[in-house]
Amino acid sequence: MRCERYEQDLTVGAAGGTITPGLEAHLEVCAACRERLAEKQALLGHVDQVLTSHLDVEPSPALRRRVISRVSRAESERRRLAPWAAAAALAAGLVMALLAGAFAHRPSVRPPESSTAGMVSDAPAATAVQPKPPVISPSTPRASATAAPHVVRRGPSRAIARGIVREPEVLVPPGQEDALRRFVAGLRDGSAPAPALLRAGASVENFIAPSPLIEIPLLETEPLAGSVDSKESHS
Amino acid sequence: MNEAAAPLAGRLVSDAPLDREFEERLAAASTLAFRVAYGVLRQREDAEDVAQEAAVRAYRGFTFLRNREQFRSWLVRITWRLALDRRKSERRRGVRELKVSAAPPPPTAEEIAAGRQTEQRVWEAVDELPEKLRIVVVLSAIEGHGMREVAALLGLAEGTVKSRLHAARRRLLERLQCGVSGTSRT
Repeated sequence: MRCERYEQDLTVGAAGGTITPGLEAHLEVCAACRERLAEKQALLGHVDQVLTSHLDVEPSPALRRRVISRVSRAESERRRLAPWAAAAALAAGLVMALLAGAFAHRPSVRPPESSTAGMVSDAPAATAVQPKPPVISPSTPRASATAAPHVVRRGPSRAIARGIVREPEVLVPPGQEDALRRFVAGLRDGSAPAPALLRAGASVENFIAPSPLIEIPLLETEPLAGSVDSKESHS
Repeated sequence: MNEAAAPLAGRLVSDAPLDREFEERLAAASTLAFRVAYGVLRQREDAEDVAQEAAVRAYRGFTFLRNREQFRSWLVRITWRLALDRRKSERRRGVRELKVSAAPPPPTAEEIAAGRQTEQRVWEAVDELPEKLRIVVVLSAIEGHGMREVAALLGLAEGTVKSRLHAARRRLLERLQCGVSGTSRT
């Protein structure tokens, strides 16, 4: 009789698992497998003995002293560095605050309250399909007029400076950047007449003629035969 | 405690109550930490270094340990992780040469059963276990820990520890019997 098929069960049984009824029945009649099971159990016993004896090791008497010494050293170092760490954190915070403030108040091409940027953004849609227009920020030098459509950024609000809101972008046809800047500057100092929609008190409704009302006659409907109403009327 | 150590220990003890409590708990768990490190590294000096490092890390995080009663298991896990890291880095550097290369020819089953198998072969088999199984085997072999103690140290359910220990023993058996010659089969 071949006993290989019980090999796995023997390993499981020797490792402390359950011995299946099939294996149990086989062990009653097979002395070789009984011997093999005992062999495996002895081997595991030997493993336990090796591990237990090997790990029953005492640390050197100086270990505790060294541990205490090292912890004390770490503690003294921590106390020595604590004021510096606090000062460094404070300095880093100040630098961040200054940088954020400087970014929020940088000079920018900013239109009046009634935004002209919105009007310009409604400019010909054909210019918007140009691939990856370069960005002109107020701090960057002017680009050449032959470049692709440019994007002029408005001055950033505080929310934009903090990175909360994305700055809106205005697409400008090539060569029109200077014209746009002059227009915005004129709006600021009042030298250029503002378009009617940008004047104070202007409303879009004033420029849209009211459309005549269309009268829609009511539909005359007749109840279908067999509908609920007709059934009710019959009843 | 010798004279050189007295001022250091005295200073630590004389500090805040946190330090006193830490020292008491560390004293109760430092030997276990050393043995855990030794179970991974099997070099006394390395294990002591790791135990010291684990103590320092435990001290730094002791303030943030919510349940101080779990200090022992916390220290064990710190030590285990540090010991594994150290072993990996040493292997990378090639400082520690594996002793596998000089392994003797496979012994017979009788030799193994008679306990003449070298410790080296057993440890090699332990080292090949997955980490989850290995820590269960090592902790079970330290200080006569039962499954309940191991489960408490690892923060696991007792049944989990039992199944892992069983799986580990199965693998150890299979690994150790791979090179056995002269096994009798019918």
